[in-house]
Amino acid sequence: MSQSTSSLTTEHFQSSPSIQQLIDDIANGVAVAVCDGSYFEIYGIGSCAWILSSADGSSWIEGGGIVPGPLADLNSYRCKLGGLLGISVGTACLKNLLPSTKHFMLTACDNLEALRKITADRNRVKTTWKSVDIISQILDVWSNQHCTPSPQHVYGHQDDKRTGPLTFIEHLNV
Amino acid sequence: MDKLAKSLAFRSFGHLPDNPPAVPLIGMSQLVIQNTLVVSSFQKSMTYSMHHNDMVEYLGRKWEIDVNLLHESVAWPSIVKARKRASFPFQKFISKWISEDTATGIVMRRRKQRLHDHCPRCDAPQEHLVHILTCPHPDV
Repeated sequence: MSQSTSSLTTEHFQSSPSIQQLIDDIANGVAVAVCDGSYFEIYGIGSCAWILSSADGSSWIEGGGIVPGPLADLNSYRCKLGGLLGISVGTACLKNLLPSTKHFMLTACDNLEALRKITADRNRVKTTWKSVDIISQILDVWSNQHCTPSPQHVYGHQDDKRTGPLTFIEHLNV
Repeated sequence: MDKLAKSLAFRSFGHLPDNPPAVPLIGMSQLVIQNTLVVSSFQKSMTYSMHHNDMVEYLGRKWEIDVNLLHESVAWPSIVKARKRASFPFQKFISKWISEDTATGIVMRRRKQRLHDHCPRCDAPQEHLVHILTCPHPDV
């Protein structure tokens, strides 16, 4: 993983006082990862944020940053992919603390198309895809670790729309 | 995460962080065109870079406008976006308007579809594109 990759996804970085619960939950396959992105077309700025959280939300790591790229290629989709890259980088940072057996982590995002890309076959990545640079990075970072993303779509902005209580993943997405 | 992403963007308004211009590609060759790293749709980007200059030079010659002025003053990416969002009939209309093939009096006479080139509303002779926009007839 290059230094620039980790810097763009961890420009902002915070964690709970202890991340032991998070590591245990990742190992047990019950941890959740949620990401989101924001794109401001007028200002030409796109940002992303991501969080790895234990199942009860007590232990977490979050990060985020500005999504780089030419202005013409910057869009909401690229920002969400930036968040998914952040999740893969965050998990890769915990690689040495996690078991060397295969385990899954629920990875949620509100962009279905971006979510589909993280489980794409590395050998079938096409250069005609949009933001193929980030997609190739995500697939490469995931392939270098024992943890595998288990994608789940989450509806965004549920705090504005839902009248009832939000689910844990929806709450993290807000 | 949505709120955090937005707050990170707000912080960067006015001063962008010193990030690389694009994510470096791992496992794929880099494609740099005119000192810019291509990050999306390689084939489309290559076609654009190869033919864009030819098109601008052609337009410069056609309209007798300085090519550098066309390069610098026209927001080409915005035009691309606007054209993509336009409906197909509207795209056809724009193409005809730019190529001066819209059915004005002059064009219709050239096509032998009308006997004269007068404006059908104000009856001014030699109806051209500018006249369509500036026709003094009250119904326009």
